[in-house]
Amino acid sequence: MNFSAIRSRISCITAIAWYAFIEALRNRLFLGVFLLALPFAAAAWTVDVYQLGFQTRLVSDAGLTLISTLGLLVVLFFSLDQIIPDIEKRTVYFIFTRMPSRHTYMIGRFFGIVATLFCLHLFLAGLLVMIIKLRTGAWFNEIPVAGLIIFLKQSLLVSIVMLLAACTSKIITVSLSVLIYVIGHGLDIFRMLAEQSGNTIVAFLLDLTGIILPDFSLYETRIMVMHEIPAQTSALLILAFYTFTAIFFYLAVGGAILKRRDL
Amino acid sequence: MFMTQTVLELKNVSKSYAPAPGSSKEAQGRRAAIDNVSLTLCAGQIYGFAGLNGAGKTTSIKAALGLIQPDSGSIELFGAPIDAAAFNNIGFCPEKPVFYETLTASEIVDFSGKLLNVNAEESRKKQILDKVGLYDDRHKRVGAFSKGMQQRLGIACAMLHDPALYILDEPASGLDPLGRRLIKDILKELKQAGKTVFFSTHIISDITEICDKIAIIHKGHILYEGRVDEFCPEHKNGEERFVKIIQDYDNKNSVPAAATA
Amino acid sequence: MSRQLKKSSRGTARLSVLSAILLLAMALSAQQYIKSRYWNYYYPDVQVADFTDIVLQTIPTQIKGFVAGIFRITADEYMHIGPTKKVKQNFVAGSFAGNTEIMSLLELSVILEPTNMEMYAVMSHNLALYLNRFKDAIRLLHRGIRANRNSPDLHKLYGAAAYCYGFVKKPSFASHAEVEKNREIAVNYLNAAIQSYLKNEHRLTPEMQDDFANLQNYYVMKSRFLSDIGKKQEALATWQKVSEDRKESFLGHYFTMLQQKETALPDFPDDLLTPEYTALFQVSTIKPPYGASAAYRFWLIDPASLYYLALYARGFGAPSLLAEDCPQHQTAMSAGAADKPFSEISDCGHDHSKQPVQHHVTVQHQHSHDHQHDHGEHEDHAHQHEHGEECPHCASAKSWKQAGTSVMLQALLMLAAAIVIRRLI
Repeated sequence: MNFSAIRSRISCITAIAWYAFIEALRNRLFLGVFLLALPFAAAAWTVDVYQLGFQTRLVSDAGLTLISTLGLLVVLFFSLDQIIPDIEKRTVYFIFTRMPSRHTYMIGRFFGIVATLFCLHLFLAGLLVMIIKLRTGAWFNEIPVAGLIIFLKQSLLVSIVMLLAACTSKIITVSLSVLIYVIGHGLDIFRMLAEQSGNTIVAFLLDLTGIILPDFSLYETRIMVMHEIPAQTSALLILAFYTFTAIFFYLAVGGAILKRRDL
Repeated sequence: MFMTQTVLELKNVSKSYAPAPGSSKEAQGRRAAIDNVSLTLCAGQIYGFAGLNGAGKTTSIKAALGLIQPDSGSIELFGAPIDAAAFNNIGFCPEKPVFYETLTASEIVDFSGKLLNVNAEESRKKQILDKVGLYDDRHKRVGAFSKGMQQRLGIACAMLHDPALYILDEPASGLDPLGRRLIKDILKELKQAGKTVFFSTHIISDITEICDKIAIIHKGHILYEGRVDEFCPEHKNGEERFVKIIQDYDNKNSVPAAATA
Repeated sequence: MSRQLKKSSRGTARLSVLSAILLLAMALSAQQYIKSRYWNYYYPDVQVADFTDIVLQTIPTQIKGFVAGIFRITADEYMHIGPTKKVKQNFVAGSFAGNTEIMSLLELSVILEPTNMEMYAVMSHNLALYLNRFKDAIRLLHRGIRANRNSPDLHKLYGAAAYCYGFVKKPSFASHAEVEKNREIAVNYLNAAIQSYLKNEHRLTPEMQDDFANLQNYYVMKSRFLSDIGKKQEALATWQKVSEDRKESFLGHYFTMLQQKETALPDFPDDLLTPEYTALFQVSTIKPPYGASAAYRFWLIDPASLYYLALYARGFGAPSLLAEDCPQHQTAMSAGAADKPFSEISDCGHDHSKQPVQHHVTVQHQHSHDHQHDHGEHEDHAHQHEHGEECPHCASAKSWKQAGTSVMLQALLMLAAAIVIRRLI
């Protein structure tokens, strides 16, 4: 692949991502997700029935849970809105007769959702940090780092949803994505079982499961935030590397499936 | 010399589909959507691809554009197998084009240009949107467009990069008489500009009025391919000829089937 | 034809789904309408204060219990972690006392599961005795009493109210009149608790037994409060009902002094306890609920910072226990190992090279896990922990290596697979 081909591919990815991002921003559902944040945010004040003042840990914990939940909603609903409706409504004809690489289309769509997700996380995590700073006077640096880790985790989930959307229907995509998400969070327990079982075959099978499925248990932020202990840079770099390779892998598989699919 | 250059060539292309699980046709096995379809389109020609609904027109076009993988046969665009570069010379408008509903017409044209790595200048955008009568609606979201407007926007996107070959799948379907007239005028303009156009339709009069060449597809088979003036001299009785060709084929194929039964 | 059929069947399916949703909505609305209209006939014991109560009734008890459990676990976690380091908060790790962070969570838990007596007790003690919200505490307990009028555990709420009234004013800090007034009310609540206990004794199962809220404690408290308000003879009479094994206590000592009419008898039994209060602070010996391998959860965190986590995992912040397990922890932390990057610290995260000979090796301690520390030339200085347990500090250092390697391996495998897929397919 020469330089101009790479440039043209990047330009296509940027165009698809940009318009997917605009589409998501203009979607009423996105506004709904933002509005959903308000009652949740207000809950921190309404449940303070004894007027005990600002509860830093509770607000940061609930805030990060809220960011994670809203992010998950965006991932599930917006990622689903990308590939499957495009194929069902035949919008893909418009794209694939201008830019034949289906991998590129998939990557572009992926980045569109990731950009949306990034905006959501940036806004909510920024808001959370600012609220805590204004109320307590202290910077809680763990929150933006945790926001970044949640963002990486959910980006990985987006790639899984994209992969599933390339080969199945909406309902199966949602079900399997949620299942993989849940199982992925328990992979450290599987690893622990593999270590402790003593049975080589079981250990091998469990390790294999851990290799094929995305390991969401690596993105554990709770201890870091609750104990206010900073994450180590080397671990974050490895985590980012892992996320990128896993995303690359799932998008490559999804692209390969989409390429072989008759539209 | 230029007229004889082959722009699009389908050689013995076949494609079959498995029926949906649980459908009444499941027992019959795979159904051929197109069977040994061969077509040749030369530069500068306006090619009409006629057939009844479900005859295999769209499948042939999808195969030509690489949207589906044919089971057998070969396809060449501009003398070579389909590749990314070929798409810069093709303007395609699908039947009932669907765009992203939250984007405006102007953004759709921009998007189309960016996918093709073409910088859609404002003057060019104005020219093509004017041509399809959508310039005043360019800031409206596509979701608010009627079917006809979306069809016209599809044509505008196909024209944006001034390609050498236009492939239009039933461009006039779902349009009102004025819309149909507009499409015909555009096709005539393209013909005058020396562009190659391949379009499918089931309205024979459109083909006899505009095209140089016609092919008739029925039940996945090409029944006729030839010049329009040979198909219906002086552009008369085109529809009767079309119906006769199809009926002859059906009669011919129903006799062995009845004998087998 | 088949397309038409398909379309019509899809339409029918959509219609039936919509009809089902509509019917369900109608059924729920009707149920709520009937419930709210005839509430008092069905649930004479429960007062419907607002719409929230009706909404809560629609959620299955199991779900409410599950969510309430999550809130309780979270509150417990907050309680163990203690205050934030960056903001001044007036409570200590490992205690509910004065902990403001847990209150909203427990409030939600009580709303969802109004039958959980323990939560009322924790909340009311905290509100009344540490957060200066005495009226709120009593209001909360009354709410609990109303919601659990027929419960065999009702005595626990009366007991909690007695505790709040009894100890909200201490003789050392409040006027004698104030203490007396409150302890009189506390005695009333204790009478109610004893009465409720005796009335429902046949319904009490062994699981319902509580270390604090039991009949013996009620008698002990009642006799004490009666003594405090000057009803010494009534107090002695109540004291006779206390079982013999409970009598061997400071209060028992006080009542013996009272019976013997000793001149050195203080006004309040509290005064006898003062020197002992300081010794009451104990270190929890409860092991963390997870083994060393679960320290995968910590892999993002620098092992050098895990000193704090080790304290947390020990349950109650016990540097002494940690030092007992591995003296190097203490040395390393005091030597400023937390400032060092990971690479400069040995496998378990602290610098062993500085004091290699000070390793405390005990013969009876077995090193059951397969993790062998190689501390330079001193092979016999293998890291030892009691009962073969790995300390979280070392476990994390180990898990960081395992998890990091495993993650990198997985990432490289995925990268290779993706490149192969992109090239070949």
